[in-house]
Amino acid sequence: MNKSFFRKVGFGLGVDESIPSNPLEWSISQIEKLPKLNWSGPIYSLKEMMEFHGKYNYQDRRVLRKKFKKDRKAYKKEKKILKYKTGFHYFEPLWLYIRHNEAVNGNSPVFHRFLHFWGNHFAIQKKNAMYSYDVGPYHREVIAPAMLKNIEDLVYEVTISWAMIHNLDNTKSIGPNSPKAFKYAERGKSANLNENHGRELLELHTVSPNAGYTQNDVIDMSKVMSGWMHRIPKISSKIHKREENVPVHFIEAYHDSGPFNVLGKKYVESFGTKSAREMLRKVIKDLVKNPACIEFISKKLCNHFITQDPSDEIVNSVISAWKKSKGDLKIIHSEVLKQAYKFSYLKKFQQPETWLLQFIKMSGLDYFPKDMTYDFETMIPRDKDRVRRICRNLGQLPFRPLQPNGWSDFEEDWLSPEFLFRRIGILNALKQKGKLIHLDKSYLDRIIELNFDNVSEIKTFLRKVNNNEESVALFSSKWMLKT
Amino acid sequence: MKINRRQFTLGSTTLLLSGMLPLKVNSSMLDNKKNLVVIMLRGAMDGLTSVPYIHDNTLEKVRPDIVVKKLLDLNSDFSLHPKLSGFHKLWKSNEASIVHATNIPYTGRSHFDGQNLMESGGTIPYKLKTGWLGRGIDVAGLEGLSMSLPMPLLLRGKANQDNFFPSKLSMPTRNLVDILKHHYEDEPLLKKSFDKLISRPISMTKSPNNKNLKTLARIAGSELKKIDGPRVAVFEVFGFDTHAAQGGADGEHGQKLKQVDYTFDVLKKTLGNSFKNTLIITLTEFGRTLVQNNGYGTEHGYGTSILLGGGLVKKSQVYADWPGIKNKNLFEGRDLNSTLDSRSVYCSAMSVCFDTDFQLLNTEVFPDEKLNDLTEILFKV
Repeated sequence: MNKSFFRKVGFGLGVDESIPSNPLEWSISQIEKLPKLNWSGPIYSLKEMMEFHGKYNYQDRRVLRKKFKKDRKAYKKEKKILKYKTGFHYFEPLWLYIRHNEAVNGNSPVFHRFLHFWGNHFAIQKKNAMYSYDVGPYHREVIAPAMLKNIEDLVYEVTISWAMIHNLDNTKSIGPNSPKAFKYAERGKSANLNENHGRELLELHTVSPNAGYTQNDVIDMSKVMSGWMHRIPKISSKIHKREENVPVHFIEAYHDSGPFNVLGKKYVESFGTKSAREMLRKVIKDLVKNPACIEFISKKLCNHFITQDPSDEIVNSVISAWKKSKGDLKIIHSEVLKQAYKFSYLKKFQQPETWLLQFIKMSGLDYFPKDMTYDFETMIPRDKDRVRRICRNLGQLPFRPLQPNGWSDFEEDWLSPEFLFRRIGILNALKQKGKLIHLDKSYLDRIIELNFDNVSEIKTFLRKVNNNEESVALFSSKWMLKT
Repeated sequence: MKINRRQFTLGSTTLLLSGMLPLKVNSSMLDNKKNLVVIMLRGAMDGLTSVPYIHDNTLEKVRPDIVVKKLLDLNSDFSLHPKLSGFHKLWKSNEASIVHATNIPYTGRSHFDGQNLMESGGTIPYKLKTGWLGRGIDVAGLEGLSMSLPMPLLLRGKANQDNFFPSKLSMPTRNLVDILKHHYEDEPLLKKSFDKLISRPISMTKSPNNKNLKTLARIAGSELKKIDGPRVAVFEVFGFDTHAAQGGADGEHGQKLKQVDYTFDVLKKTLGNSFKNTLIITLTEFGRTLVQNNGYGTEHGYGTSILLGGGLVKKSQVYADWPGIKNKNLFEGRDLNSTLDSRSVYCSAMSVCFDTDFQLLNTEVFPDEKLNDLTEILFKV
């Protein structure tokens, strides 16, 4: 049995677990339904987070900046209090602990590995404090449910989500052939398209540059998307107090009426809002059927779960499942799992967060705080913020990728002296603090027997280690770093 | 007096290092080893606060509550913010200059797009996935060492970069280090990274968990001056986005400039004799509006200034194709205009520090752009 499979598609097995008799069935059963959250602590909805984030933006921009315009120190002090009141420092560790709890203690670690993959594929870059407020709920409420549908649904729902519309500036886009643009022209002003979202929908989310799209395709894609925006209502209305943190609407006045030509296909809208509104869905339907999209995402899935240089045989199996199922994500995910099982001997360097979660699960580290409630009046206590310190130390705060293409899946981007040192250094620090003291010989033997096939080789390796550093050696070994 | 088309002549935090020299070097190479330090000023540094235009009283009129007083003298047209006193000393010894009314060719006023472009060197946000400095290092054939987690876009190139950033963490025992060294033998990248890790100088293995700019500048300076040390360092200073309480001499913007100033100062002191072969240069996403806002701050603008220091600076000068700051001169009626693509300055800086042909760098690092070669104007060639 290839026991590395449990780390390839999940986070390994904890010492109180037993090896599933049918690993493939074990994994596939986890991707067939939306798992119930194991988390029993506080949790907030995306709608609630829009309130918190909106309040933070409004109070800072409209109130504090004016009130303390002459007093820098008072402004800083009041902004600090505002951050407490709106949970600025609280929500990111909360979202991370929920994410990590589901990976380590939840019943569907495989589902959550796929959620991590798609959350990174549809990355929200570090921008406008979205990592503090919105990204956790965006993963849970937008991406996770859509993972049980068709790829078309997933792409569409992400594309019109508040997080992505805001992240990629679609609200700033006005179709040149829209009623709003004509009004602008009457006043001698120009209205511009913002191509950011249109370009990334093609480049990062669907067909990739391999499709050979041109700048005209980007422009027409952006035109199709114009009108999808978070509307900022009049100043007097209550909703304005949330600034841009308001729901996304399709507003036809900003929508370009076309016709559009995307990747060689002409799209013409018929009269009426319904046709205009449905145009984005129509184009996405075609994008996800494009061979370049199927190949790009299939290969990316294989890169993430199997190896960074998968053979054509592996990728073609996923492509074939995609085509046969017409983009059914359960079928696609299932095929990735089958290939990961079949080729579980192929090695893949794990991203820092994945490695961390595997280490926590396998070692049974005392990691989660007893209580994640917060008073919204003071700085979040250190024990509740530990998760952020660890992730920062590892160089990967998952909700804060610096670029819209998310975190890299390639070892060249993670294997540097400092990145390697951080993993070994964290293990060493935990050992020095006595946090790994429970990992005695019998405990380590159990970890090895559950999670590795080369049991005797690892045990021989660990016998060379002294000073009670066996646990540091095991989790920084090549067998752990590369799965 | 209308000033136009002329040169003015004198009269938080992250650090990254790049560009290791080969280990086999001789003493004459130390004299030839040139260092480039880039300080990224995130949030949009106000060029009219750092280097105010004083030829007329426009700034006093439009910025009555935040105009900077007690300025340091540069010339009859420009002065220097008083928090840049260390930089001013360099100016007086012909080791500092300023490029004014400049910016990357981006007018969208978004920090996210602007910072992406200032690092990528492109013209369309997020289109380029590597940084201009990383590409420059690739062209010059240098091996990189960065001091940051994670690596900023600016330094990202084809080559796998080495990196370092201070932390409280420590390595395990010598015994385990030796075991791991042997253990990683058959994994090339793991082996390469681990070998570099265990051959680090003591200053990096026993690094303090002190990430303030002074500490980082000291570490950078001591690494840069080594004959086999890195050739490029990058710092990040955050917090220039002063929409409120920007203040004058002692305001928020001044506090940030003070951080920039002691970065110059500490580098000068730490580099010692190697300062003569060093160029320090600032980079920001755009400038700020000419007129103060209701919050006694400024909004996002366009043109700004670049501070340059080090022995590779040709002479003390404010180099600008000055557009003026009267209403009719402003970009879109509100911002200091940019009359010089700042990428020309950065491409020229790389050309000098990497001893690499300007045209080659222009073609490889900024393809499809026709930049101006400013090497002879700004630097000692």
